[in-house]
Amino acid sequence: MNSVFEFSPAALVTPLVIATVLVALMLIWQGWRSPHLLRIGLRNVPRRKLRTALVVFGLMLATTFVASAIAIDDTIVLAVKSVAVYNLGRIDEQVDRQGGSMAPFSEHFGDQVSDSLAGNPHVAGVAPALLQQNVLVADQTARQVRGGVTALAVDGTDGGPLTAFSNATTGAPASLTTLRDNQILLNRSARDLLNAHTGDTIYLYSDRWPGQRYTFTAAGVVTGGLLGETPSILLTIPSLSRMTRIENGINVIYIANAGNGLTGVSYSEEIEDTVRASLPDFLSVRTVKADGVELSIRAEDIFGRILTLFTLFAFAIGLLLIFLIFSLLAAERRAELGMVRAVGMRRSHIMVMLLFEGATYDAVAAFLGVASGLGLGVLIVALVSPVIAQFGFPLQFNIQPAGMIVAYCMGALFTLGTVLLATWNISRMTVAAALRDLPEPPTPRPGIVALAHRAVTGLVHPQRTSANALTAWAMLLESTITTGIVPLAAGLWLLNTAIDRFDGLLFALGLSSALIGGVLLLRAFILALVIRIARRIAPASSALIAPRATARADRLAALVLGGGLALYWSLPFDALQSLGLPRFTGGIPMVFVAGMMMVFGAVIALAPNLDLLLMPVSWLLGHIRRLRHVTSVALIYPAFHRFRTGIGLALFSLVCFTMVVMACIAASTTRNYDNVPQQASGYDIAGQPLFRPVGGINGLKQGLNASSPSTLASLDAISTATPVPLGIIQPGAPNAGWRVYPASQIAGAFLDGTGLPLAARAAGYTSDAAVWHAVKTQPGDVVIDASALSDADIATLDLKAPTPVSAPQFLGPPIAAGLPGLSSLEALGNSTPNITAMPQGGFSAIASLAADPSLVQNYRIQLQRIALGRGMIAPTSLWIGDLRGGSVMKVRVIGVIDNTHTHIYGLLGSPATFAPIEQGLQPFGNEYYYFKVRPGADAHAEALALGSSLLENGFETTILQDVLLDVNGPRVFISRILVGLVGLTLLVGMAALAVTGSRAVVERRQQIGMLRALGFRRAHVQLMFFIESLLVGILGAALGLLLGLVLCRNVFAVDFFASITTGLTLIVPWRELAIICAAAIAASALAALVPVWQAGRIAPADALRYE
Amino acid sequence: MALHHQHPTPMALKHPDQVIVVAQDVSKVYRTHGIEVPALADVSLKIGRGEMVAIMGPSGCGKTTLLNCLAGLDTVDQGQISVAGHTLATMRDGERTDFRARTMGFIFQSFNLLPVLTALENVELPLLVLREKPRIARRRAREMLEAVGLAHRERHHPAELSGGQRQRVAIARALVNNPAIVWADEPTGNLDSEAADEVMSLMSELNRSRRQTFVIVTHAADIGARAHRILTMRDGTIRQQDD
Repeated sequence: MNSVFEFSPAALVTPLVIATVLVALMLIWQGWRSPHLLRIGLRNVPRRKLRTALVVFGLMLATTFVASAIAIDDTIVLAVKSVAVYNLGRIDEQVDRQGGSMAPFSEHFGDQVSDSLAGNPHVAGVAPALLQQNVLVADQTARQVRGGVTALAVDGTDGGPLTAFSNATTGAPASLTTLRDNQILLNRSARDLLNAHTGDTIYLYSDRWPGQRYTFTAAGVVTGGLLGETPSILLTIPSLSRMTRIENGINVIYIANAGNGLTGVSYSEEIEDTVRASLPDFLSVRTVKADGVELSIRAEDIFGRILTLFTLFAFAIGLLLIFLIFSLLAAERRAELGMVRAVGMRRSHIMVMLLFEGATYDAVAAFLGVASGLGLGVLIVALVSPVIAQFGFPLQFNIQPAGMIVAYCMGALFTLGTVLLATWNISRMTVAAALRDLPEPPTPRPGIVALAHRAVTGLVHPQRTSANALTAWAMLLESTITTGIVPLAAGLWLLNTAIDRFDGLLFALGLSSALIGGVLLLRAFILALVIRIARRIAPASSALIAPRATARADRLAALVLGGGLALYWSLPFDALQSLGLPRFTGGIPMVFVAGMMMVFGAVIALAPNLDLLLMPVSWLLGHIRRLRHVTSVALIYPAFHRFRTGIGLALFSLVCFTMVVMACIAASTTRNYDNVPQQASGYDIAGQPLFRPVGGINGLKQGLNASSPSTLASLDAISTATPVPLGIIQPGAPNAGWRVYPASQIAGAFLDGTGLPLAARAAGYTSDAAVWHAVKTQPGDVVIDASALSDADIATLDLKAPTPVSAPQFLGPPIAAGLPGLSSLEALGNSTPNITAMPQGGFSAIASLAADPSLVQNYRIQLQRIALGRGMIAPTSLWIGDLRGGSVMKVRVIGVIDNTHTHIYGLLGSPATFAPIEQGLQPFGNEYYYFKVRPGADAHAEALALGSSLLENGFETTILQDVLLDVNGPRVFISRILVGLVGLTLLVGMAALAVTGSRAVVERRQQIGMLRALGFRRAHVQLMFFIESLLVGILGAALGLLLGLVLCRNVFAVDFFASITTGLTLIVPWRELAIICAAAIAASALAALVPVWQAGRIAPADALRYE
Repeated sequence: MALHHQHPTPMALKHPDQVIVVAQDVSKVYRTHGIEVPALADVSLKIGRGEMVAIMGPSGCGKTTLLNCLAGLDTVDQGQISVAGHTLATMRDGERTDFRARTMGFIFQSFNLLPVLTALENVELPLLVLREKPRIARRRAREMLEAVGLAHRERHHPAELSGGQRQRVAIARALVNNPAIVWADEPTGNLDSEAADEVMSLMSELNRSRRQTFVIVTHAADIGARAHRILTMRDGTIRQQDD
């Protein structure tokens, strides 16, 4: 467990253990003082074994969620770290020249580093080496090429784990000392990409030795040591020295820390300091693995935040369930408790007695919760492992003991706290009412003034009223809270503080508290007035008027208070900003508090007014004549038991709400990742010539026809694209000026629209085919993707905002640009294209992009007033020119590509369209080819065949699905885990409904008997309980769905995840939400089976037999 | 016996064909944790239409068990019970339930009103069970509440009524579907003497005016004295029948 989750268990473990031990000691002390209470409390535990099992199950769920969240988070963190480790092998630190130029330096600096670290127990090895990046490797035997390969030469004698290589097939140690100067070793990635075998003839090319080719023989495949999973080859030092012309020098020193490759990261800082002190300024020390791990974790931090949010909601749900269970448990024993009060026990005794019982359940439940949380974590990881195996994502269940201790202590303490709250609530009873199990009558209370007087008197004359002074103060506090005085005062104070600090969360809490206080105060005032008037006007009936007026006032107050809270927290996070007030700031606490407030506000408003809400339902169901008597009774019970229904509804709504929020966040954060075929636009293979151009589609087909006609026959579609560095201006647009945007001249199947779906076409074009025909045949007609449109135009087209274009995509081909094998930087020899030689005017300003590609967003074009309506645009003229110079020309946009769910970017036109501006200029980027294989053909085999056939061109092929899975796998994996975890909260909802339903059966046993006597069939009684449970399920699902969507809308509207990743927009996964709602309602129906079964077993004569 | 003479002799006693309840050699044993407790032993009786019969006896003698068995709320181990010519043992649970709804009304010591329903809703419930139209059910429930003198309390929930008022609502509910027979189990057990007297007067009046059969389980002698006939039970058997 670490920074992915927002708190560190290592920091929490000590205070939590101390708190748990203290609480346990207090309970033991209390038990020693009051052994009779302890005895009664404990004897209740084994009284009804089944019920005890149910209580423990309910209590353990909160702990289960915390433990499983911690376990899963630990697993995710380990996996994410492992990715970094896999990429870097055993290298922890790297010494090279400042600026990372990889220029050589003297070998003696290697000795210097070794000397400085000699005897350091945290260092496992030092290896001076020669490194050459971005080597182009051609396997002549396998007839495959691969660019971007790392070539390494290292002395294999003294590097410790850095030079501890092993044979990739047998696992046997592999020594570099036997490697000859004409041999190379490959790592597994290089072998797989080149389809290489031992004995193959290998050619090496590089910008470092232009015009030369070096020939080697593959001596084998090794793994381990300083080799990670990036494609790499190992050579002897003399070989690489000869090729790089670095004689008697090195250009990098690698350091391996002690540990297993991952645990040593913690020593990096210390080692960095030691090494830096021993080296001259021109050499730098980089903690590459620590940086890589941090970068990886930061990249996945979004999921850590989501997991934290989920855990908070799940924990709240669990605690709510505990409150409900314990309230029902005590309600069941109300008569018993009334009796013990009658024989002289105090309220505090009752609380202690219940607390002993609760603590016993709690201790067991927390333990079981941790165990089940771990089990749940293992189960989820086991379930998703097969799914993610295809990503090559390293996954190993990982759990830190500190995390489990924290889970146990948190679960135990919070559960006990909730039990204490529940016992405090239920121990308030009128003994006579409790003894007869009658509803609690309203307690007459002295007014606030009288209480204040009593409390102050207690202070002034403690000798007279010492026994009651504390009670008077407690009652005064309670009265000032329930009448709204304290909440109003606290709210106003919070508001004042929030405005001073400009704190959004504090402001919102202050306003909410003030709202609660204001409504309660108004209620108390109006009620007092009404009762006073009633006493004057009709003293005889005032006793009846008072409870009715109170009931109505309660309803109205709940509606205004709850509705107000729900509405306020449903406001967009920046709604109050226009009034100059603090806006809701992003952050997990904000989202959590907003969610809780919305759900509880809505439930507070609805629960007391459920009878009114259900009137239309009752009327509707009343038309079913056969079941009229059933529905009329079934719909009244939930409205009558407001508190219990309210808690059940809050719990179930919160469950559905959490599921909806998580589903929306997961869908929105992974929308561009989890549908791999869609991301690849249906293409299977991408390729680019690294030696010399193929010559377009015709050249490619000729080449294939000559060497491998069967490969050509197995291809369904071939497309090609060549990036063009384009400047664009939209004449007539407000603030028109030169902007930039990705652009490619396309040919082949692209010009038929294959893989390029249109979201809109220009007026006058009756079909997509007509648009593509024009693009193909009319020079000057182009299409552009939706990212190039302004927000207003995207909205007019009724499209979802696509992810903004990024720098690699600006330079690359239209599909999957920037990925390995499709990186224009790789094709361009890792050098920034020279776009400083600009044409006149505005173009010069864009020259700065060459130095800083991140500025692309500032210069990106956003076409305006082009959209006419859904699916239609106006044919729009643009001026375009090559950023490197040359003439400018006018083009006409006649179609918009839908890239809501894909990564297709660019202004796309035929070669004839771009010919005028490209005249006299060198090709800017490479030729990129995309292939779609025929159904049934093996893409991997066809890729190898393509590479082999076009070896002379150095044709590098990439399986799009593989590379997309490699890049996106972790996110998809984490998203799957989250969805699995979230689904489990439904269990809590089911447990709550089952528990309340069972309790209702017990409570209404006699009523059930009466109903049966009156003519209700067994099935009718069962149907009543079924309807009640279903009602809560449907209402909960509806509330959860509505409020969840509102919260998600607010979260994404303010770009809540902006600190981690930008450009996320809300994707509402309607299909998943429909499944969630259906599952929630089905769960409520399933949960009803327990009470339904119990109710069905009640014999009328038994039920009617009174004690 | 002075009160007794205020009532006319029921028709059923003079015309055995007007018998509504017949029990023949009814026995029932409760079995709990392996212990057998005989509740009824060879009980035979006949109750005529329009009769008001009191079943009396000490606690635990089997009065309530007999009433439950006669009403079809409980099953018997041996013997036969027929009500209005229908043998209860031959009916399935559902049929017996429907039969109860059509033919019987119930009054209990603890009223057993549904706390979630108002007085009016409680009274109309049996009519809804019989699938009466809601409008008609409501009208008849109002009439019945009026008959028991509680028209002004129709919107009150049971918790807002006194014990006597609750039992009057329970009587209205028992009679609203015009049942052939009303079973009352300690109907005055939870009432003070004044309220008990009111309730019994009401039941007697309704028995007289509507010619409905009342079977009342009680251990109060003054209540039994208002009945046409008293069946005295002891140890699960009827020991004595007094007119």
